[in-house]
Amino acid sequence: MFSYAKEQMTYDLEGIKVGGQPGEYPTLMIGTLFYEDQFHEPESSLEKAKALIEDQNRISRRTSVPSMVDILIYEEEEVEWKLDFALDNIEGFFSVDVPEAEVRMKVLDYLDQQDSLHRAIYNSLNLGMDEEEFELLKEKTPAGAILLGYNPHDNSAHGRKEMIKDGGPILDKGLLTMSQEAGIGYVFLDTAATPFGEKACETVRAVPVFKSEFGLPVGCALHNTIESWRWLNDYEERENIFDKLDSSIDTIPLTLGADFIYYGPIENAFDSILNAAMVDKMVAEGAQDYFGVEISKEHPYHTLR
Amino acid sequence: MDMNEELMTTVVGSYPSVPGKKLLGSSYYDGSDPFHESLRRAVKDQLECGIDMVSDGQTRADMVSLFAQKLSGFRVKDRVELVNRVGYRDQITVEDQKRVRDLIQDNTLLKGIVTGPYTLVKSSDNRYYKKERKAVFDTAEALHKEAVELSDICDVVQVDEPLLSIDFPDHAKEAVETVLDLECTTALHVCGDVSNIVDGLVELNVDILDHEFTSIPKLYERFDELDFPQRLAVGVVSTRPELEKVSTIMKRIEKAYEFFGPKTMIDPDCGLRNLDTDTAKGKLKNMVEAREMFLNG
Repeated sequence: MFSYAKEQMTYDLEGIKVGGQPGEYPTLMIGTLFYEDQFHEPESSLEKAKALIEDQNRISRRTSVPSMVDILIYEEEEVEWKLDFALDNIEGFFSVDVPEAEVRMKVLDYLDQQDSLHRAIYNSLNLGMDEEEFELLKEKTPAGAILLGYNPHDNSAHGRKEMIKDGGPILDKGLLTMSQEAGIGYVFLDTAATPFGEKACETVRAVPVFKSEFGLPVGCALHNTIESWRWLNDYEERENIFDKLDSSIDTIPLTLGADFIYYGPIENAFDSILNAAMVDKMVAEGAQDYFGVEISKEHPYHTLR
Repeated sequence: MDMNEELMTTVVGSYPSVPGKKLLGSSYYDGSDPFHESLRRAVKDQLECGIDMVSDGQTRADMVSLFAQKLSGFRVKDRVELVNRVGYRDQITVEDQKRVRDLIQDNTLLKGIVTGPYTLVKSSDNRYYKKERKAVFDTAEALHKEAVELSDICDVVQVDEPLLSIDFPDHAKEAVETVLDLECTTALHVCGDVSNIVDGLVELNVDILDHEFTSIPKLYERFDELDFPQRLAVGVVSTRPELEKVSTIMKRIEKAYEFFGPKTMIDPDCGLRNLDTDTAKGKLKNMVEAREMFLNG
């Protein structure tokens, strides 16, 4: 295994340590709730959602691999009921995952109204952010944010790094500078999974590149590469293999020292978190014996003998 | 429209159409290709201006990265590097050209563009090849495969070799001809001052030569000294941000026609990528208007 020459930042999210050198802390595994069309009807979904959160918590406790819930919000009408659900049923921090900029701004407004911005990890600051959203972020600032290294002009690791560092050919300044100007405390760098054929490998390569350059917690949602795999989606045995591939692909960035993983639908918690525990143990062993990295006490290295 | 149309209007290639930030942002989540929109706008603007032979606008990336990202052997890092033997992996701009073909009418022609092998190699940090000549030929053979695919869709396939204006070695000439060994009409665009290499350019086995006559007016005399078989795409609009008047462009067209007669095609000096969209569109519109004024006496 390996270690970074650059000092690596560690966050303490109410007892969950994220970041550091490979092997130092277990990976933060983030499961997404309200994924796709499963949970559009609030009445029928809330009990199931609560059960899924508890399932994730249970496997997290059992393995010592920390987890977080990611609340996916597509439409403005979903903002209030999904955030109400999160605020009532999740302890501590949660990620709020919002593809559309207009909806993201509604999320900030509502979290501010509920005096809960201090619990939110905003997913994400990306190249789609305009001045209006940026100004709102400065006024209503979440505790943390995911900075998405997606750069459609150059999907090499370097192009992705540019998006974080200086905005590449699209933004006037880098997403990191923007997050600092907004006063965001916990900054997470997402290497931005791309499909096979669109330099999916660079998503993984960017993990050490980002860690070396910025020294901040780095991760990705590589399961998206599986979901966009055209061959697999047409494969006659897809139903039998999809979930296995969706959760196992995350072991690749983990071996390169990723600090957090958006592993996809929270239903995959069992497989994904156990995979992470297995790789975390391997990485920790290599980091300790070769680089003298001090492995944290609550780590699967110690707890899953 | 046929290729022999008198004073045919065309473009060199790039156009300043970029997808909006919000579209770029949402494309990550919905898996859409944001460059379909920028391509559509680039083509729409060219059609609205009345351009006879349009391009896809090359909106995806700069001319070097666009090809280096897709050819094997190149690696895009802080700069483009040559790290292995160059080969053709997959189509590069073919799908975009099909998309343009669907957007245009039968009376509009389509130009497919390939960045030249010499420019690609010279723009790269060569960490693999001992001899530049070999790197250029491997790249030429790879690009030829793309050019063959483009020739099934496009009316003209053009090679862009801006760096030939700086140096024009024999292997660069052969490489251009390798890429453009096609059944369709072929073109070579070299921007910058080509006055010292005109003799070599006209010897190339290409159908259309395309150069910056507005910025480098001495090219008129240089080409006029020679007897050459190619049609000449004469840059009659600069790529500077000032919008030239129709009357100014018409005088340039008059001059071009006076020198080269029916061989003349007209276009901007170079790609318009670095201009704002209004200026780029204004230049194309004025160029077409100037052509009409000239033709109508």
